[in-house]
Amino acid sequence: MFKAERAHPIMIFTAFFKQLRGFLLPMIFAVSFQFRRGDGLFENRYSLYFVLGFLALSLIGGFLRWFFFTYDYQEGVLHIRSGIFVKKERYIQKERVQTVNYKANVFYRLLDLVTLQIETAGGFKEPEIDIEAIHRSKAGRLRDGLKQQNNTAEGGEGTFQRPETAPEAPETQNPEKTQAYTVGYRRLALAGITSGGVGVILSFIAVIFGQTMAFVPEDWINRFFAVFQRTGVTVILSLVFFAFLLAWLISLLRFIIAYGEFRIEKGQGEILIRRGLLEQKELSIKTHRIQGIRITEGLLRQPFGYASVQVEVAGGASQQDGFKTMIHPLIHRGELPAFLALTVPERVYHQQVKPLPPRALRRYLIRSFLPLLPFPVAFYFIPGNLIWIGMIIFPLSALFGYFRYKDGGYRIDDKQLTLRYRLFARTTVLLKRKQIQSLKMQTNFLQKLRRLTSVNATILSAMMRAEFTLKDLELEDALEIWQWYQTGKSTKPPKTVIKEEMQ
Amino acid sequence: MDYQKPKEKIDQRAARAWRVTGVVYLVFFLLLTLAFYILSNFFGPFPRWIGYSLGGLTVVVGVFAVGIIPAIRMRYWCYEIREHEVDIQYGIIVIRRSLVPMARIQHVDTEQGPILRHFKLATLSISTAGTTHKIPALKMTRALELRDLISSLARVSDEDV
Repeated sequence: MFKAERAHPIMIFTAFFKQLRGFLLPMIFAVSFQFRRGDGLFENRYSLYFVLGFLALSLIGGFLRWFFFTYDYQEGVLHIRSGIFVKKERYIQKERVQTVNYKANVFYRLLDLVTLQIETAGGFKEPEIDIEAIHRSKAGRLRDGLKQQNNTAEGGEGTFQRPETAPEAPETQNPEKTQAYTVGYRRLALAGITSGGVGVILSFIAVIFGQTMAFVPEDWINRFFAVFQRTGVTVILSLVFFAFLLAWLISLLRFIIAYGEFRIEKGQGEILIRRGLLEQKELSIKTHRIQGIRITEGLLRQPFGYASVQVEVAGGASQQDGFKTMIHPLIHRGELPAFLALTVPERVYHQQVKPLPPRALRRYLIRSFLPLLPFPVAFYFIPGNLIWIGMIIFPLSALFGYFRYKDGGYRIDDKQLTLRYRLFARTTVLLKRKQIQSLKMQTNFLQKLRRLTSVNATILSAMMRAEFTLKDLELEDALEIWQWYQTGKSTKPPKTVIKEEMQ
Repeated sequence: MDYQKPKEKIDQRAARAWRVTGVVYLVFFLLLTLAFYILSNFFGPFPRWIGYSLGGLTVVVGVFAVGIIPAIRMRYWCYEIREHEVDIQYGIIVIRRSLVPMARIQHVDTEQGPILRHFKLATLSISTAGTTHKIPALKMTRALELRDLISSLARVSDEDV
């Protein structure tokens, strides 16, 4: 069906740029070092030769990489040949293919090309293969070829994973009429503003700033501070303010670039996610490999009723999203049940959970004060009036302690366990009984006195495992979860329990 | 409600084995303390508090790791292997109880170090896809027996949950 083919020649340039990017930092350092020495840029002819030679070599390298990279697909085997000096040949059987995802940067999108990312099961050595810069239609055919009759292949995955569910229940709707969720730009902007990425950007700016300071000529710095001395504090404050604003804007922009054009739809036995404004990413997740759903209501988002939804997926060597895959960047609580019903059926979301007993509050408060213990000591030893820091920190952690207590809770719905807890963001996890690998109750002697216990459930995830712990449950409630996990039945129907609690 | 402790205990010799492990630690700390005093003599006096804390640590290890903990720890360890699950409870100050359904179990191993081997004991290690659970210091024959039992039960109850 396919003959050995090369990728699109644009791969030469992407390979070139990739190589360039890797050497960009050393080059900047080298150049700025020269700058500092007082030589003009490229005044030393050798450095010019060096840079030009390097560019030429990278370009040739890119060409050779493109020239020697071929792929062909025949009868269920994908054959990839690559390598300039060391030839590498890989044969990938389609039975071993777990996921096939697309990725496309801006240039690729203009030319209607994609990078095909193939993840294989097992084999910790290079589980991921990229086929760069092939035409979308070819990629589609390749993907279809690799994914055919994958259902039968699932059993053969070896020791790592059993088939967690029976082969997908017959679809109720026509696969052609699948509904898709998209996220509009107003919503994305809101998500970006509330994403809390500001801190990351700020520290990034600080690092860059610290690094570049070393290369700035000294008299510049002196002049800079001279200006400060004349103008005073307001300038510094407004500079800080602008740094914040800038960081916020950058994080907003980053979010919109990463999640722009977000679209999720349900295919047959899998969900397909496409996102990215400039670099477009498409990934498919097999529904039966989803081990848990995590609903995160960030501090800035919860007041408005918004949350992000992530899935924990078993196996799969890497995910771009840092091991958790976002299936919705910002959804309103009210939309959640419908959204989950469409994308990950068999999971239910209810707003109400059975709360923790009031006597757990004390433990929650103490726990959130524990990390503050060094502070009074520090106040004693560090000169100056630092009491105002305490005035902020202590009430704040009391507040967090209270809300950690108040938001903690669980719920059992037939085959699903819902745990809700908070560290900073309120997190609700939906776990299916079959996918909980083991359940643990932890009771220290103080908890034992007060008939409280902590429950910990472990599931599989891309990082081997993910654990979820709810602390200080009523012992009877923990035993209800225990028994439910043991037998599949819970003694108390949860709805009435909640009603009792609410009255 | 089923909240009895798991019924079975680990082997009586566990305490002795752990005591020997404790002695190994004790010897290590003794040597460390000794080394400190010798070096302090040769290379000028080192701060005294280091010596005191090393000595203190040695005493603490001696009292707890050799004297007190092994027997209590052994008494608190219990487990039960039922048709559909493995139930393990251990811990003195923090009591940990784990439930591992047979259907989740991927493989079972026995392992033993030199000390356990001397006492003819072995540790049973039960792995699911994401977690590992251990039952330490079982009689060797018992450990092998349990290993076979669990692996056969795990195979049977593959997917009836």
